[in-house]
Amino acid sequence: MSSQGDTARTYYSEKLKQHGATARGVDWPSAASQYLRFVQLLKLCDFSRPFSINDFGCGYGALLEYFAYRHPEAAIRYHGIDISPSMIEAAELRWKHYTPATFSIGSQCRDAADYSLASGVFNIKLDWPVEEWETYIKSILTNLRAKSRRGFCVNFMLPLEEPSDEQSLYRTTPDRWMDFLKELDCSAEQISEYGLREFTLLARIPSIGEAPGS
Amino acid sequence: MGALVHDPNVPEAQTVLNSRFAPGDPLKEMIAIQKEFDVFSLKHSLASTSSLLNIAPSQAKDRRGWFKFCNHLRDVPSDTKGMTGHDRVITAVRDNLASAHPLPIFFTWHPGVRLEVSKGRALSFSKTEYLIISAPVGHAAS
Repeated sequence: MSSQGDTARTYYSEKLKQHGATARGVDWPSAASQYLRFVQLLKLCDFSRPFSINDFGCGYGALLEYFAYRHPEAAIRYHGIDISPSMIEAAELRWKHYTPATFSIGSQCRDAADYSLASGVFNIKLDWPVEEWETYIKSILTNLRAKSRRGFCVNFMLPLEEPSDEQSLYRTTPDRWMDFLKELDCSAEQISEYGLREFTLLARIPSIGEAPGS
Repeated sequence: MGALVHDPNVPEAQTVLNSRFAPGDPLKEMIAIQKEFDVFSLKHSLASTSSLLNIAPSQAKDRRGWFKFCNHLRDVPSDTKGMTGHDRVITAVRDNLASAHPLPIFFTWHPGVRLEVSKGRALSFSKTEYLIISAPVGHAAS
């Protein structure tokens, strides 16, 4: 029986085959829009001190390009995880001389890091019923929570203004997932209105002895 | 233009270009990208900005032709004295996106020798005002 992970593996492996290790190869319209997402997601991170990060659904490692462009001085230990073996192969080839970066094939984060980031991984649901897709999202968020020491960040697409018959994309509203992040004992912050029809959620994990949201 | 992008694919190139600066979500995205990254700047070539924004035909040969056309605009005069077509496109887009009321942008072509920028109803069936950037294709093909 196939899983949501199988769906993602097939979909993104095919995109990579069509477009190579580029923004289009990970199904983003352009590198610039991808970078605009990273700007929002990385508001979670404290760049003034070294940190480690899990990049879940890393694709060919575009986040490393962004770090080199925007934060060249930052000390970041990076681990990219992707369910598509061909994506990881492309990432390892591209970043083989960059030692602070490692990659692994997987459907969840395996090791803990200071932060975890997942950009665009919940958007393409294809034929999966919404309820099952949301169960999958919950499992990923729970894993990100478990494998992050300081916090994690994700993004979702907002509903369209006009009704549409699109079935393959998952669109949602912030409240749906803000509440779930609180269930995970996180302090959740929502970012929207940044030029894209989507929102970003930053989930901060309280230190031991600190209440969520304090 | 036809010499650089295969004729039947020119309409697709124009659609790609115009869809990224269309009213609504596309224009909002472009405004945000410009504000964050200053992509339309005389520090960058139109070809590199076009590549970064993925505003180019999908076929590899046509993409190369498109970037060549962008660079060719350096040799094309514009409606602003002393400014090349290349720089005129960049400054027109940059100034529009940074303005208090940015307009959607419509790119088109005309037979002629200089690149022209104007404001008006690009689509005769619509009341929406656009910034219209028109490239002289006769000059490019000669």
